Amino acid sequence: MSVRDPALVVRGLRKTYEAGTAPVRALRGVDLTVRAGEFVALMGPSGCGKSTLLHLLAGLDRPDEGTIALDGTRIEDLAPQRLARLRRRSVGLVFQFFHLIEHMSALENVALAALVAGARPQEATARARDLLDQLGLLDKARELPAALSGGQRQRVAIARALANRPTLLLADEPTGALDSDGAAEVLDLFRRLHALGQTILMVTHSREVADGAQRLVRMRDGRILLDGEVTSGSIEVPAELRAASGPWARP
Amino acid sequence: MNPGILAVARAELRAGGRALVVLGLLAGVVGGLLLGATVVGDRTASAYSRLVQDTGLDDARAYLPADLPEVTAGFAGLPGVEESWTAYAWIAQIEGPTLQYTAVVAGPERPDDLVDPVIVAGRAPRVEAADELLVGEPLAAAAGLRVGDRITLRMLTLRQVARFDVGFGTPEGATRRMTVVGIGRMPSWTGPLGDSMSTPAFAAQNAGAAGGRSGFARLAYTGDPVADAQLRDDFVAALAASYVGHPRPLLVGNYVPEVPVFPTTETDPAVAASERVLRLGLWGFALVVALGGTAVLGQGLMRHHLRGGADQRVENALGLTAAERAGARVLAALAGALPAAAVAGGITLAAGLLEPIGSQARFEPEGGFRADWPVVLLGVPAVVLVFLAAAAATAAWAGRGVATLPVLTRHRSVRWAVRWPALFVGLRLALRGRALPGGASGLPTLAAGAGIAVTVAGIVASTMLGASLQRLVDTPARYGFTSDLTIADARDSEMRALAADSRVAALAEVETGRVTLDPSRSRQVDAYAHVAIKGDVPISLVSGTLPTGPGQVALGARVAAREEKGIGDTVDVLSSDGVPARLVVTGVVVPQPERGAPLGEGLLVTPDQLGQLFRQPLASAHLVAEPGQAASVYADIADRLEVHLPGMPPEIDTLAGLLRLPEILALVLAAVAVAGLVHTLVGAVRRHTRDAAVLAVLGATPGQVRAALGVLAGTTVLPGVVGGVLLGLGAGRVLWWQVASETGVAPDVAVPIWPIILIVPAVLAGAAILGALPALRLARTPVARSLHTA
Repeated sequence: MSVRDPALVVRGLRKTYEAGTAPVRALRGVDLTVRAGEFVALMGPSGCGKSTLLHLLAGLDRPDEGTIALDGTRIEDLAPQRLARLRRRSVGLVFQFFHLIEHMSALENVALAALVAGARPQEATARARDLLDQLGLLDKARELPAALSGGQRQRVAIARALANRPTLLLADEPTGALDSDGAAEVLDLFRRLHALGQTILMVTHSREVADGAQRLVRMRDGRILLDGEVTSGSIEVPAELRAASGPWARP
Repeated sequence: MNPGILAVARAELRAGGRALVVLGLLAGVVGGLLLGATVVGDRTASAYSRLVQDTGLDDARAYLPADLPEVTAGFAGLPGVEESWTAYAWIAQIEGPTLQYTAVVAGPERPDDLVDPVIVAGRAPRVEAADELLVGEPLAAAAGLRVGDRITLRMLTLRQVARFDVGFGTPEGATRRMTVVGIGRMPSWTGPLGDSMSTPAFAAQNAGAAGGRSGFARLAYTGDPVADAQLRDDFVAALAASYVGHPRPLLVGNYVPEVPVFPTTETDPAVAASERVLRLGLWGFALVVALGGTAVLGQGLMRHHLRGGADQRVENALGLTAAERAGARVLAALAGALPAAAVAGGITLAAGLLEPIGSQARFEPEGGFRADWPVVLLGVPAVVLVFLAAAAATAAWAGRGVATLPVLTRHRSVRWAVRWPALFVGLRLALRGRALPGGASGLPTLAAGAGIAVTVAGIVASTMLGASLQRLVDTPARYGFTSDLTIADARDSEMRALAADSRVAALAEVETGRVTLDPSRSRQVDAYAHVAIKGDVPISLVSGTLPTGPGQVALGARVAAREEKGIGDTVDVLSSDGVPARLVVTGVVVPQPERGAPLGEGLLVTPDQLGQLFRQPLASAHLVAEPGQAASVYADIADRLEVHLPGMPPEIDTLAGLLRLPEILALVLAAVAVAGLVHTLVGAVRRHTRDAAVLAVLGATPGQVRAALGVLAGTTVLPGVVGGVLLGLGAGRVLWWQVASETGVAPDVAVPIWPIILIVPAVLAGAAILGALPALRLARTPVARSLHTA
């Protein structure tokens, strides 16, 4: 895949949840294209649909309407088996609260992703070691997650997400549970990965974190209201959105 | 009290009061089941002793010769006798289609608290009515007698009674028409007590025709075993001495033992065996309920208090100590203590409706509801205290993480499984170490495994016990009954005729005499010798070989156990004709009991040896018919000979009454095991919902996720199941050995191989299914939601 090929194409995505008695319309028609090698930050207030969108893109939930093409493959109607296999090679996921398996060491957590994808044990372990080494955690490889700091745990989670060299790295508030040092560590890591050509879509609340990205997408009430390049701490608003005003305007 | 404690308790009640009430109800159910089992167990175990108490069972009883009134007159003055009753006894034939005898006991001046049967139907005979009869339950069952029946008794004369075992023709005594007015219950109706009782009026009317006398005594026991044993020895010696200087009576020697029996100290061995089985069964049930209930309740309380872990952190920050925080939660738990007490008390009282279990019900002196107030009054507060203590302990446990992080432990290595991710993850999740920070710890795997092991062991042991009981009951040869018919009076002419009968496959004359084993201890048993007349009537051999010549003996199983004699040992015997002998033990047998002797009693010698011991042994016969011919032979000879079909000895009959118990116990344990498995596995899978979701995020297919959870479930239960099977095999063997030893039969255990082998895959399959159910539900839930909610 060349750098300008789309890694992800989303069209008309809608999702409604039944929460109690009132349905919650989390996504109301989202269109989004992420090209290979892009580092996209997805921002918006709580409840605007960012995480829902991320989960739909990773195939962790199914949309009510719309299409999602990942690496050129439509995933919205894929059978669970095929979806799982596609996720192995195409998607790496990083969560705010790490979601490491607490009863496995850092090395085992990372290697597990490769093992699930069918790698041989030696190969998976070597790859996990390599990733932990690159992320400065080789000395912590035998530790259980509970013995690591928040930043270290998140770096293990990122290593795990990268274990199968995914097309797209999806990160949901990866710095949300970290202190400022930890957040800086993780953001720096994302920048380095981007520099190496990794495609990243990152949900964040933090403008500071978003500034580290190449492109910023703003969401509100289940829709994308702004999508532009990040240039020196500001955002380059595309022409079609430049005329927007009132609630649609950039804050 | 720190007002903060009350405030926290009120907040705890508002937030989790309903959960505490539910947990209290659960504690009440568990406690009630335990207390209920105690009530039923106590009623069952005490049935015999209460019947002994309520019937005024005599401490000593003896046959007294009717033709030696001096011995009878001196009975009340024997050493140690506090009170006594010397009754008259009659042997009578009950007129009817089959030959049925009864021994009637009656007499004046019976103390109210001595030998007073409990009336289970009808009423007691009126003192002045000479035609009223109280029938013992065994006779009522054997002869089909009911209250209101009119029967005719044809009495035997004293001389006929003396020849009872060697033939006496037709009864020549008086004929009496009697009415059965009641059915009576006694701990035992055998021996001098006979099997029916009549009135002083009957005794006055028929005293001159009595076939014998029966003496019953209350002894002045002190409670000191040594002193009481000495008292019994003095009683025996004095009774024997009272015969000295008098002519030899008709009713002594082989038929009537001179040595008295001591009913209150010599408990029926069948009762002891049944009590042992029942006690172990109830203990097993209580143990499993206690373990399972404690596990479930502890886990519930732990979860409840772990949910409030954040609150405890705040309370800690506000200055409440760990004890104060736990105390506040104990106060809140009082909301659950009330329903716990109500439910536990209700179940315990309701258990009073249950009669004693199994065969022990035949000893219950008072039917219907029986409230066990001591158990209620002590047990219910204990349930409440345990519930509050568990609440305190779990609250303290949940709060201990506030200040310090738990120490992490290393996992057992499962690197060999890394090639199969589902297996690797499932093993790693199942074989985890101690609780990790922030995790709901639940039951450690070890505790869950131990609970499963105990339950499975109980199931296996119950199954083995049930199979062994069933095999014993179904195989008369195992309790010594190797013949189709027994004939009480083996007359030569009849034996010759039977030997010539083509329907008879084998016939043996069984010669019997009474010997005193280890003469210094006055223990009397029957000595048998088989004289083959036709074919081979087998003898049940437990171990060793049968005696082949003089000087050899095979001991009955119970005698061997009681005397602690084995093959190669010697035993000293003294025959009732006064001939001593020293015999070498060649084997252990289960002789077919004669004249109601306990199972496994007696010893077997060769005919030559028996001939040396006795001048004129008693003779009966054992007959094995050709297949399908037993009923025909019986029909031909029953009208002229006292023939018995191979009935079931009382010991086996008692055990047959327990046949359902192991099945019920196994079913209850299986139900407990299923409940425990469901709880353990659903809990385990639920605790790892997030891990399963993470696995799905990494690209594991739904099948791989289910497989990982299946491995988790299987690994959680497998060690417990395997350990439980091994434990159960040992427990079943010991249990049956004890029952067999008490009963006097061969102790080799029946191992139902296939059911036991199938337990392991059955439990594993059950675990896989139970583990798959939450996994399937998990599969239907979007991974995203599982990650959020787990």
